[in-house]
Amino acid sequence: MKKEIIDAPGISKHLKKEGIPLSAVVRAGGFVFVSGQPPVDRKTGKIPLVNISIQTKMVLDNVKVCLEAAGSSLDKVVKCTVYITNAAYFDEVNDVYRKYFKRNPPARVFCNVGSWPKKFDVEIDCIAIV
Amino acid sequence: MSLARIIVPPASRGLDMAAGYGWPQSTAVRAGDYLFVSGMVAIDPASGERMNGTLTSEAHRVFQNLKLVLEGAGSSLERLVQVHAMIYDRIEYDALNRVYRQYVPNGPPARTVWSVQIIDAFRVQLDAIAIV
Amino acid sequence: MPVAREIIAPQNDKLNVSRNLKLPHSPGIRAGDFIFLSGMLSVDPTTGERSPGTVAHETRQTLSNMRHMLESAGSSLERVVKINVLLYDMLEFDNMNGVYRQFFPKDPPARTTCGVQLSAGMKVEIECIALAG
Repeated sequence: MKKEIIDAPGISKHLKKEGIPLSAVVRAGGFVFVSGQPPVDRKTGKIPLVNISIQTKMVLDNVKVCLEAAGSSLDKVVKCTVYITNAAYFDEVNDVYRKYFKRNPPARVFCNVGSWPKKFDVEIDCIAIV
Repeated sequence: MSLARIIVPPASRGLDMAAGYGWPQSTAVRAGDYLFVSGMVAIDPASGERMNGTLTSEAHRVFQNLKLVLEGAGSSLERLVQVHAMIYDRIEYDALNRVYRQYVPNGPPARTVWSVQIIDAFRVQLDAIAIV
Repeated sequence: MPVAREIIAPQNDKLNVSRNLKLPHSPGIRAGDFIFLSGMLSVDPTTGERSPGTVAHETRQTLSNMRHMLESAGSSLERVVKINVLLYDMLEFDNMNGVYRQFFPKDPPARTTCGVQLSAGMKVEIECIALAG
């Protein structure tokens, strides 16, 4: 049983450039493990100062890119964890999230964590099947 | 051959967070030999009503709900493999453990306790991975 | 046939925090193709006592102990697929990364790092999912 590191277009290269010691996507044993995705712009590698709804959309777009690079997809996600810095954002995050997981959504846990050292408010990681 | 992804029907009406709260999540999803369970909080399994209380009362309710979900999916508390135990304040660590021990007394699952703020002012939330 | 579920224990008894502190968790569980480890804090492998310090120290000690835990179960750091790093303060992210990098120099696992409250002034806690051996 082997573990495979998958290159996620527009995401892995920025991680490598910044020397961040993680793989955006790992595939093993019929599952795909996606690292926590912040709202990074895939073209610039930077995190723009935008509202929570746009941040959530960027995060889920990045999650989608990661999954598809590994031969998976949003509808194959089994479990998501949503990390936010402010409980007040729950409804807006949900409104965007709902558009990405319209039918038979994955299991999920939502939690409020301390701020990250950059200016963003939401991050999502997940486990999916291939 | 890829694994099937199966949405497990909610064990009871109250535990259907999608129907009850309009949350875009399935209570539990099965893939291969594993069951992935959404964060469980203290709600009434029949009515879905919030049952906020002390950490102790909520933890009992959460474990009882988790048991319903697991057994509804052909698993059990004994077949839990990993749990994230979220508590609203680290000070409740011992109280959490006192309840926790009652539900997984032998060969408990791997666990990490996260002290984080939980939705709707609940004091405890558990998410879990189990085997079927 | 239902998949088997096995408790994993470290060969070094001192690192069996679950048992030594009588906590309701197991050091790790093997089930099917995967191993799930409980969150690990920095513990001195010679005494079994907590070993607090800088983020760099705690990260190094925790990952060394994680290596031992996985190897005791026939797995390894190279077989880790997903890690969650909990930091008492996300401003120390770079300090954690500096050490973390040394343990995962090639093909690192997927990871999420978040800022949470940890016990007793500890600064780092790490949990993981790995492929079994």
